[in-house]
Formats: sequence, C-alpha cells, structure tokens
Amino acid sequence: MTATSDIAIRADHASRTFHVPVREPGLAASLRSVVRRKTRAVRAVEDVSFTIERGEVVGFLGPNGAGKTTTLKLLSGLLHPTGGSVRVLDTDPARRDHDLLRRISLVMGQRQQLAWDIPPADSFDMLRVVYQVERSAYREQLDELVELLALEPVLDKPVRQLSLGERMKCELAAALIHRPEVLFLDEPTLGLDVQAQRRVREFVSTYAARSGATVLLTSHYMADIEALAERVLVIHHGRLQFDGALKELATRTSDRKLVTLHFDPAVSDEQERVVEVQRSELRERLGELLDLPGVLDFTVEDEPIERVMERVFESEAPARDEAVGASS
Amino acid sequence: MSTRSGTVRRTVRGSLAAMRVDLLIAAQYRANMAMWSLASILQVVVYLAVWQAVAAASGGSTGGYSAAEFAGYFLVLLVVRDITYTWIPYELSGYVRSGKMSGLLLRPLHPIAYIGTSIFAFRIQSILTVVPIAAILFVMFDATVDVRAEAVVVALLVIPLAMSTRFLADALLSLASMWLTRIDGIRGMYYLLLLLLGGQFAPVDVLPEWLRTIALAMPFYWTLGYPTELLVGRAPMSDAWIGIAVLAAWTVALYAILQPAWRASTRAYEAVGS
Repeated sequence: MTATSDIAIRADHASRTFHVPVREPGLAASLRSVVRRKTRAVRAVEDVSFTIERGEVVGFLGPNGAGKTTTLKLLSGLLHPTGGSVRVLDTDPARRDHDLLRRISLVMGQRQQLAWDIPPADSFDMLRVVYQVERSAYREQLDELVELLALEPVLDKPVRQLSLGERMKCELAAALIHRPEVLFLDEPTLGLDVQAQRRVREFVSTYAARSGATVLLTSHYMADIEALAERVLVIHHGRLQFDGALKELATRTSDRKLVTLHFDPAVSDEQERVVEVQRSELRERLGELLDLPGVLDFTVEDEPIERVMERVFESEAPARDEAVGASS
Repeated sequence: MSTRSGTVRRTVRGSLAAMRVDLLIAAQYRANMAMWSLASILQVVVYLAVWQAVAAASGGSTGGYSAAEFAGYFLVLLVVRDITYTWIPYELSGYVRSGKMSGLLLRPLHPIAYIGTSIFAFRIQSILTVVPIAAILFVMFDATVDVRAEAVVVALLVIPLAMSTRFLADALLSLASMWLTRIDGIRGMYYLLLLLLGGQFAPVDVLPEWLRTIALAMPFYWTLGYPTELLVGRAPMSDAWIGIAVLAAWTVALYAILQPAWRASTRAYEAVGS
C-alpha cells in the first residue's frame, strides 16, 4: 500500500494505436478515397511500462515520432490507451477527474493556457478561480513565479505582443499557478534562444526542488536533460528502449570508448588525436596506442551522450504499421 | 448530493472567471463585434424586404402576414436569434483543429461550460448593439406587432428554454469534430435546416404544410420561430404550455444525449494539432 502511494506515475504495458487515413497524392486518388477509404493502423506507443516515484525528475528522450508526446498525452488523460493502462497519482487520467486535473499540469509545444488578446495577469487570475487556488496561496505562488521567471515587465502586456521566449515563460507560469504535484513538460525550450533555454531550465530545476513535484520532461536538447534529470527513459519506434540513470545510458547502449591521445610537440606535428575503440578491445588497443611515437598523455571517456543517442535513433525503423484496412 | 452541488458551484465560479476574460477580449474587439452584428442584421433585413415585396405583390398579404407584420416578425426574430445564437459548432471544431482543445480538456472546468460562457459574454455585447438597431428599423419599416403582457411573461420562460435547447443542440453537433476534426459539411447542413425550419427564411406559417409538419417535429422552430411568434402575438396563449413543454422536453432529451456523447467523444479524441 505504501509502495503504491510513493509512485506518482505508472504505465503498465500501455499502447496507443491510431487509425490514419491513407491516400495517394492526386485528384484521381482523392476521388477514389471518397468511395473507398483506406486506413492504416499506426502503433504510436507499444507495450510501454515504467513507474516514476513522487518527487523524481525524469527525462524522456527519443527522436521525432518516437512516441514521447503520445505517452505524455496518455499520462495526462488527453488520450485513452488502446492497450494496457496508465495511472497518475493512483487515478486513471483518462477519466479527467477534476480532483486529478487540479494536481497535474501538461505544458506542450503548442502553448495554450493564455488568452491571446489580454495580458497574462488576467489569464493567471482566471486560472486561479478555475483551479480553486486560495487568494493568499495564489499571490505567494505568483510572486515566486514572477521572480524565478523574471515576468514583471510582461505581466501587463497583451500576450500577442510578447516574444516567443516571454510567452513560453508565461505559459510555464500559467501551468504552475495551481502548484501541480505532477508536471509533464513537452519540449519546454523548443524554439528559445540559448539564454532563454538556460533560464527555463534553471526555473524547472528550482521549481521541482522547492515544490517536490514529479516532473517528466521531453526535450530534443540533451543539455536540458543533463541539467534536470538523473534518470532517463528512452523511447524509439514507440517502444521503451532504456530506463535508468543518465550516466548509465552511454555505458549500456554504447559499446565504444573514446581514447584521446596528447602528443609531444617536439616529436609530432599532431597535438591531439581522438580514437574510437570497442569497449571489449580497450586494453589491447590502449597498449598499441600508447606505443605510438610522442604520446605524452591520454584520457578514456564514454561516448558523448548526443552521439550515442544519434546512433540509437538512426537505427532502422521496424515495421510499426499494421496492414492497410479499407472501409467504404 | 453535496459533491454534485460542489461541482456545480465550482463550474459556475470557473465559468464566471472565464466569462470575465471573454468580456475583456470582447471589449478589445468592439469594431469586430459591431461588424458581426451588422452582418447579422443585414441578413434579416434582406428576408424582411423580400417578404414585404411578396406581400405587396400578393395584394397586401401572404400567408396571413401583411407587409407591416412581416417587418414586425423579422425584427423580433432578429432579437430572439441574437439572444439564442451560439457559435459552438465553429468554436469547438476550431479548438480541435488548432489543438487548443487539449488545453481546455486539462482544466478542471468542462470545455463546453467554458465555451458557453465565452458565447454568453459576447452575446451581452451583441444584444446591446442589436436591440437599439432593431428598434430603429422597427420605426423605419413601419412594423406592427401585437404584443400582449401575458405573452411577454410566457416568453420570459420560453426564451431561456430556447437558449438551452439551442445551446445543447449546437454542442451535440460540435462533438462530431472530436471524431472528424472538420465538420464544415455537417455544420452547413445544420444551419440550412435552422434557416428553413427555424423560421428565419420565412415564418413557418408561410411554408407548405408538409414542411411545417417537419418543422414542428424538430427543435429548430421551437428555438427561434416559436418565441418570435409568441412575442408578435401569432402563437395562441392557450397553447403556450405546449411550447413550454416541447422546449423543456428537448432540453432534457438533448442534455441526456450529450452526456454519453461527450464521454464517447473524449474517447475518440486524438489530440491533433498539439
């Protein structure tokens, strides 16, 4: 019983299949599709299982179309699973129970909590009432958000006049007005400049630490994941490929090490050379490399995580689409 | 019971907060609202002018309406239409296509309640424009209505029922967008029926018998034509209870259908565009 309540998020063999219309390009194909409609079942998420404990900050990695956003939509209740189940704070999110909705938040790439034509302060106040936040708690939370995200100068400007970075920061604040216990962040830094990315990253880190919230975060930027999450989930072709510590990811998914050799300038024109070595051959190859003329020093490192990910994500896609079905 | 009343209280409070935001937005787009109201008025004026011409060409009256009575009917209809109008079929399908629906589904406030309050907020501003213009047109077109005090009292009950019936019917239609994403075709057909059978194109009395029978069996006439006829003195007071009963029955039936339809639609929703 205690074990269950410590778990904030649980996916148990969760799957989601979409039926996508299929049509060849051109007018003739378009007319044919009117009488004979073809669909293809696309398994966006397949048999995904994991648990996340309360207070954990977990990174969710995967290339475009891997199933990250679909998983977040399943966990936030926007989508119903077509197989398996998901639970968030011991509740089925697809029931859209208002008590659960007051305890979670999802920030998606498409920002949508703020009304376009009025200042963010008015939207925040509306969300206060919708989420039933006491005035004093709201004031306290808003002050904290304004300070952490440096929102003071933009609070009274209509949202349509804000820059992308300013809007994103306001969207984050809007998503956190009710102090959610579980926060799903889908690409929170996408499209932001480096400084704004850093600011958002620092903010999420501080928020998670101060509030004890459980955070599941997707990002294309490894810097986001490295700064925020010790644990990562890697999803590819709809299936979970890895679940563990970020530092283990390179060791477990890569069989390569990088040996950097530093040469004596008096002996060699080359100052530095990086050699990729199979982990199993490291001892043997290291001996050979150190025998090279002029080697002064060396370092051995795991492959950078970006390169590991790149290679994992470049692998061939297995057949994920089921046979084309036809309906009239 | 207390949980249910708590939910209702929270929904009302949340809706009022959303409405405040929508009033702020409406205030920013006064010119847009004025143009919208003008377009709506022009449409009615065109039908009014056509039917006045038909009455004049038919020796002074058609289907029991004189030119002045046609003017009275269409100008009261203009106000009734403005009070009962909703744009849920546009709003909800737009939200589904743009992905904004996902944001609404994540709030502890029913998206239909949210959209409903937004419409109500804009209606307040629209009515303030339409009513004075209808009054001016009333004088300009030399319109006649037979207003009776008891009919106005009955209308105070009929119009809220007409609003709820129209709102629920529009909401039900809009849910199709959760499956189909685009509902332009279905919506076009729906508005055509509303135009013809609701008494917007012509008073239902002017329609052929078979079309009148269909109109009485569907909700459109009861939400528009009936309240208008009541206010212009065309609907007999002795049958007022029928109008009230029919509208109440439509409200209950549509509400009952909307519940499972909503659950099915959220199950079908694919969260596109976000």
